[in-house]
Amino acid sequence: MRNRRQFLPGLAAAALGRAAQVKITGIDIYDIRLPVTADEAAAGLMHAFNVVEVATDAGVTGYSFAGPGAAQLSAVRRLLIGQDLFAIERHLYNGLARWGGVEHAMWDAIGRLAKQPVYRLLGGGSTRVKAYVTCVWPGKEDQQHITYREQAEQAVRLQKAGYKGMKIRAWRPNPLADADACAEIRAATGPDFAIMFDRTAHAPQVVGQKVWSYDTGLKVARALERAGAYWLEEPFARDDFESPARLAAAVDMPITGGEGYVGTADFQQCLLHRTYDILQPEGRGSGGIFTCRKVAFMADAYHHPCILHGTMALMLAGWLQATWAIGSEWQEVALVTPPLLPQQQWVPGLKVLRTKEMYRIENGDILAPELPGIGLDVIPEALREYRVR
Amino acid sequence: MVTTRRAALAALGLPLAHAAQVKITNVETFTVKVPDGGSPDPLRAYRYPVTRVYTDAGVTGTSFIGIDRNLLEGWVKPTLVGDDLFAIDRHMRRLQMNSGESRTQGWSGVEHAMWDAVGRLAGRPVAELLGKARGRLRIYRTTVFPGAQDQSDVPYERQAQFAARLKANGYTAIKLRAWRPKPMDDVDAVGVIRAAVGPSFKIMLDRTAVRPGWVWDYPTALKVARGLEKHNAYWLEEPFDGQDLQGPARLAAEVDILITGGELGRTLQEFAAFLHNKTYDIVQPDTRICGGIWAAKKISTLAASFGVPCIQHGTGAFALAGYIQAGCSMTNCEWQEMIGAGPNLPTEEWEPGTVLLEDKKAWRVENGYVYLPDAPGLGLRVSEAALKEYRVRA
Repeated sequence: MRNRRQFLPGLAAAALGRAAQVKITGIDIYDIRLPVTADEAAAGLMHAFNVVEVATDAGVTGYSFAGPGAAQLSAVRRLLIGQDLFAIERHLYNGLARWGGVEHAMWDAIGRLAKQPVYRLLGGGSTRVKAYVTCVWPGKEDQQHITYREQAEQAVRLQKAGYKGMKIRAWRPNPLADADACAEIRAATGPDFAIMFDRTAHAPQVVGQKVWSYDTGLKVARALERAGAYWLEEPFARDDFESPARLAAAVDMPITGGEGYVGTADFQQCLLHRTYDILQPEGRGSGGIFTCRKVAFMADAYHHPCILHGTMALMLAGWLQATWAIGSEWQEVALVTPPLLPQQQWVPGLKVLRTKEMYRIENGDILAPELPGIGLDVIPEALREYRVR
Repeated sequence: MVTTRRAALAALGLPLAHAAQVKITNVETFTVKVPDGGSPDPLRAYRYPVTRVYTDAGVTGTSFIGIDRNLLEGWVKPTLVGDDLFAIDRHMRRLQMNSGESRTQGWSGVEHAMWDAVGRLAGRPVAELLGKARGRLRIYRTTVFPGAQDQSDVPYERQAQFAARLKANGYTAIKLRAWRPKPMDDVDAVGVIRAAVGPSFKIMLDRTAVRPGWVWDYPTALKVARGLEKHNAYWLEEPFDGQDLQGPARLAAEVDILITGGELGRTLQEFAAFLHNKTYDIVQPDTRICGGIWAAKKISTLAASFGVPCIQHGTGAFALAGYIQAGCSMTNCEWQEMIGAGPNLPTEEWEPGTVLLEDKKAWRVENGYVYLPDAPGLGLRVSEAALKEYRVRA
């Protein structure tokens, strides 16, 4: 070490270069469709993505696969073309938060310029994270056609693959039925596997259900707790900052939420009202990587964990950078279609990458790659090939 | 169509280079003393504490903030050498767990130097890596005049003359102590200064909490604040004990002049308490005391979620480098305090230190603003040769 340093002063003495402002020179947003068989598509293999490219005058282009759709292209260009790539705070203020995937591509460009992974630039909290897998079975949205047995089998399948947790919907018409499902899954997995439940606030309206009353929420939460559930997510409406706090005070199981909020203001309300035990900003919908990082700053002040709401396949790259930067305990991988494992479902995406794996998964942990930007070594030619005309 | 290998490669783009983890190989702290020409001017800075973080990537980070030797040998080196340069958040948490919050101030010189190394590796100013909200900060000069600590022997006219000199040099704001034994004397001083500098120059007053040795009672503070309002003063800082969450809130609700404070806050939780209690109109974390650039950015984010400006408490000369980077990353930080060794301009104070810089230039200061430098890291192009030449203490 000594020798190396003694050797280096000549090098280190070179004057620092000028860090000229980096301007965004081009934005493209388009769909790609990767080749899959009809059977693979039906099984849920992820093969369609909306790509964002952010080109700069520094010769670096950033990519994201979590784009907002080509319809947003002219509005995104109006906001960003000719602007300072690095002025993320200013762009968020001016409306970038609507397009979290564009922000991911900007961070990818920043990381590529810096030759560092984004998670390192934003605090470097960790280099691995436990994945939990959110499973939704094809068919009825409320999952009432799925037996408890089938859910238990998928949990065991995940457990055998090394995963430490699974999340399923709490949407069955009889809300206590989901607690029975939990008991059966728990019996199959043993105690060391996290089983999370997601009520998804108002989302069950699509199957004709209402947001739970407080009484119902309490009854379900007690039953889930008895059945060994790990957390209950969004039991009430997203603009109700009080009822989740009341429930969290009544039960021991964590009550979680936050995926529906854009920007930091609603999270501040959550913290002031102690609405949720765990804040779950959405990696894209919240505004993106930097907004998630800021929500975690705020959560720090109140000692609340911040665990991102998830996605999967190529899109997940931006989410993971925020998660590793924060050092969160978990990252959601969603939505997985049983009987597939996540890595089986995102195989088609490998066609646009130089790497053999999309993400290295080890014993259920997703490991941070030592690659710049958001960590995807994208092949531009492959994007051109699979671009939907 | 003939496709050359070069054209094929261009179409494919180049694979991303491996971004290996960067490890800290050593940390040291020392002092440099630059030439004073034989007759040192007390208004210029000749001694600079330096902290350096060496890495296995051939890049060294430098801050002009010294660190405590016991902390360096007892915690910083054993913990950080061999570990990840970038894991600043994790290192900060470990420091708090291992050493308690009282140590967060102690390691800031290292934290700033780590950010310098991170920025140099990235080839970008640190402010850009933290979201870059602005490219310049408005300076306010904090001036304590030679003489009695409480400034009771400093004529109002002396303060007014210096404020006028700042104005003539493009500066737009001054902060003075409100320590005089008769509190309304400080109000009268502001009246004299106001007459000298005209209506738009900003005048801030700093009571500095318990530092004068006695704390105003509420009626005194109210009377002073009302008097300051009449002279269109801009803010009154730390009128009560720094631990008093309610007194400043009560005063802020009653008067229009801004009530500010928070420079001794060490944790995010303390700032959360200020914000919950509406203690201050503006929170003022110190980017050294609160634990560093990263901690200051967190506090700024929390304050922004309450709609409260976060204007960093300052320091002097080259120690400002990290403050300027942090401030330019904040959405809610318009100003940077620059604390003088006496009635001088910031550029005068750090002028001797510019021999430590390759380009012999510190920051661009124009029309009362300091501009974010375009050099990577903390923005000072530190000269290896000069650091070696002027190093006085190992």
